[in-house]
Amino acid sequence: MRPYIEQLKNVFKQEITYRADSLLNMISGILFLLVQIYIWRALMGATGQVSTSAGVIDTRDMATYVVISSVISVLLSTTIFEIIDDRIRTGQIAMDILKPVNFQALMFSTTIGTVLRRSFSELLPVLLIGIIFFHIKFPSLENFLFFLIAVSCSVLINFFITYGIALFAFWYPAPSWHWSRLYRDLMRFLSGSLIPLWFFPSILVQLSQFLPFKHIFFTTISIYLGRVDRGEIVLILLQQIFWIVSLYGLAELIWRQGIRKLVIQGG
Amino acid sequence: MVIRVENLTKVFKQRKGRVGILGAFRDLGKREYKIIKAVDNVSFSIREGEIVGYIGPNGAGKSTTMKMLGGILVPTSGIIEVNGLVPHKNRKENAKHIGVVFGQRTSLWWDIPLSESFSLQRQIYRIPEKTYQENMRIFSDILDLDKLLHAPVRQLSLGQRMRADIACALLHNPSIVYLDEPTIGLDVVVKESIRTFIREMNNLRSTTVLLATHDMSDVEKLCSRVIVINQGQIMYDGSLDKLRNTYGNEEIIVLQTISPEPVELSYLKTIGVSAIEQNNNNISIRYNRNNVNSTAILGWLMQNVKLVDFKVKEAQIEDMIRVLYKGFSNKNQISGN
Amino acid sequence: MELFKICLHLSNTYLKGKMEHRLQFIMDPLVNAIGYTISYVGIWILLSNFGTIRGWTFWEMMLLANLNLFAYGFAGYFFYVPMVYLGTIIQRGNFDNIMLKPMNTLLYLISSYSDNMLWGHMGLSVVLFIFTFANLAIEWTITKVAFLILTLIGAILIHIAALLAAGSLSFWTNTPNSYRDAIFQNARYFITYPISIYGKAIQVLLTFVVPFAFINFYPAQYLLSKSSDMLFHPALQFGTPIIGIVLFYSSYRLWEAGVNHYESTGS
Repeated sequence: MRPYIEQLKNVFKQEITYRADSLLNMISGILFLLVQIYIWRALMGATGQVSTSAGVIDTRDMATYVVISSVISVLLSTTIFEIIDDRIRTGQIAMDILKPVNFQALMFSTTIGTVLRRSFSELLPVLLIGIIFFHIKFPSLENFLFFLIAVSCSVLINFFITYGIALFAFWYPAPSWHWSRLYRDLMRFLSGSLIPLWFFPSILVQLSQFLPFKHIFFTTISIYLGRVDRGEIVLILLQQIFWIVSLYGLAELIWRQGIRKLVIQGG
Repeated sequence: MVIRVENLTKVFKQRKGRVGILGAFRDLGKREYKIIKAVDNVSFSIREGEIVGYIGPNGAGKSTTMKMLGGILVPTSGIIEVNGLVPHKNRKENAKHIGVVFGQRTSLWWDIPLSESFSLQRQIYRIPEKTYQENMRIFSDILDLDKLLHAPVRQLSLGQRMRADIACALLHNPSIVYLDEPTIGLDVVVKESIRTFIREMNNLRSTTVLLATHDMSDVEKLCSRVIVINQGQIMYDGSLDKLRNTYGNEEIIVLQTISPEPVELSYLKTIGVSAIEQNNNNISIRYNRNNVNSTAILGWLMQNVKLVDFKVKEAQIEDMIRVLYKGFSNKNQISGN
Repeated sequence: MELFKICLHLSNTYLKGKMEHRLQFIMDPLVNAIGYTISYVGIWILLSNFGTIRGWTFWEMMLLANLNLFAYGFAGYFFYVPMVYLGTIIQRGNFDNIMLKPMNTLLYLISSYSDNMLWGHMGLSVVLFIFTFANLAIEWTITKVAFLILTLIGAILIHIAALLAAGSLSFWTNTPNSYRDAIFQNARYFITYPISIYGKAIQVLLTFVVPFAFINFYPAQYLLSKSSDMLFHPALQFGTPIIGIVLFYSSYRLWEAGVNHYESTGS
């Protein structure tokens, strides 16, 4: 347990070095938020509301959606794409597997460290602005607790996918930014981080049933907004757990294959 | 005079970080600076066709001078003229007539075959076809480039790359060539071929050469004249021979004895040796060759001491400069032409 | 003419070097193009649900987005890599090498680093222009065609000005380009949508402080005859080429000041 906590602490300590970085990210985050809210207000026009499969949604709902989405975005921050790519490319990964430390767990604590660091500088300001300026809605206590569980699942689901994709570096002879960027673009779209799935055409809605992405943003935010009843919440949480287990297994598989390739071919 | 430099000075401001945590806070406001005179009141003139060695230890001001001559660094004060132009005010025009070779990095294009680097160079410098062909032929001959032309520069060894770099720099028949440590890290064979090349070009085209280096063998083989610079100031400007005779007279013989027992060497002091140091097997004998020569010393040693190995170390540039510097602080700048 | 051939030769040399890594050569532009396509699909979904955003239909939005994309792609093709990596180029001593050549330094730089990464932007935007103009009922007169060409040139100049300004700062500071580019990056995102959806303050900022709105919004108003959305003065619709020239000139002067500073302090 000790080395993982150490890693977590290390990454968190780097906050001092990343001050300027954090400030800029915070400002960009707030501006991004602003654009989103303006867009929704303009879309919903004079009436200020729209009816969807989940009931009537007004501008305050969408403001809340956007703010919570930003919050989750910060919670998903990770640097493991670059770290893993670098380690595999330089061959340092060979050293890593010799150490008595579980590499995946190490990457996880690195991620959590990053998340904690960025939560202070980027998440809190966005949340405060949302509360003060945009009057975001608050959920019932019950929904909030479910939301917390769902968010934790979101983070885990995203981690296992990110980790698995980052391991592509074992085979992909080009820079990692291709995959991380493709994943980010695709995931943010299909997960409902920018556009709730209520607005998606039916094909895409059906497609997203078979993918884990919607559980990273959409279903979690729906719980927060109270747009799903308790039965559905339980169903969602079960689905999230299913995905966590499956993706964990998939990531393990990719890791084993990668190590095999490393050992046989020498990296 | 193709190069004329008068009272050339270049001053740099280096930021000094204050000590301690309080200092760090004060640094956020007004910062403290350290003034560094990289080039301090330097004057010299170089005629067409001269090959001049520009000697000095690291940080002496050689590269700084060359950057100013190349027009990419603006002097703080003083006059600087190359082919009648002020370099930094006429950067492009000046660039057309100079070639530059850096020892530590290449000017060639990394990923393309060498022949294409040459071709690109030809275009950029608008080299007429006839000149290009002629030079390619001569250069390939002397520097043995034919086998290298197809290879991308990243695949070349240091020696091969340096030959290519020098050829490329002279492709457009520049009237002046600046060489900044061109033979650093090269083996003797390559060094020799590069020196031959420089000499040939100097013969054929009267190319003026300014060779910045702290490799004495380069200087000995190529330069008739040397300018010694140290801490931004010129210590010596004159012929190489006079430099040697005046300052390069201290030599050291280093030898290894069979057994570590102390050896009786006081006789050597009587024939003119200035200092002897013994450390177990290793003995170093310091002397001035005007007083006694190595033959006399070695002759006696071989008859009286059981030697395993010995080596005669000639005066190093750093030693000469040290001597120069001691003399400099007493007298004014010494010129020996 | 001779100068143009030299630039072409330099550019080809750079591209040849990049083509050695075939996968990367293809993926770099492709990933960019896919990313933008996904965001445009997002816009399509929004507008098929809501019809218009502040009176702008989907294809009108696409014209906005595309003007920005094309101009940025074109400007970035020449200026992105040299400006973003100028710090590294200086550090490695390569900038000295460039300054020793008998050629305009900036011209040499942008020729030597024209990166195919931006072909994704350019290719996508060309395809989009075809679709966009096919779906918009614009009455094309000679005036309008000339206007479009001048607008594109002006828009490209504005983007170049931004890249050049951010890059020039490398001569004075070591901060990463992402910091220097932050304002412009946010501005680029803002103008993807018609600035009429934003509050007055933002409109003023994007018109008079960081005049990015001239890249697409104002010219689009003229092309689409959208006089109903007049923000300040109708004359602004024709401002793009002038703003482009003025901004480019200012940035170029900043660049020259940067080079002077470099020549005085020797990095």
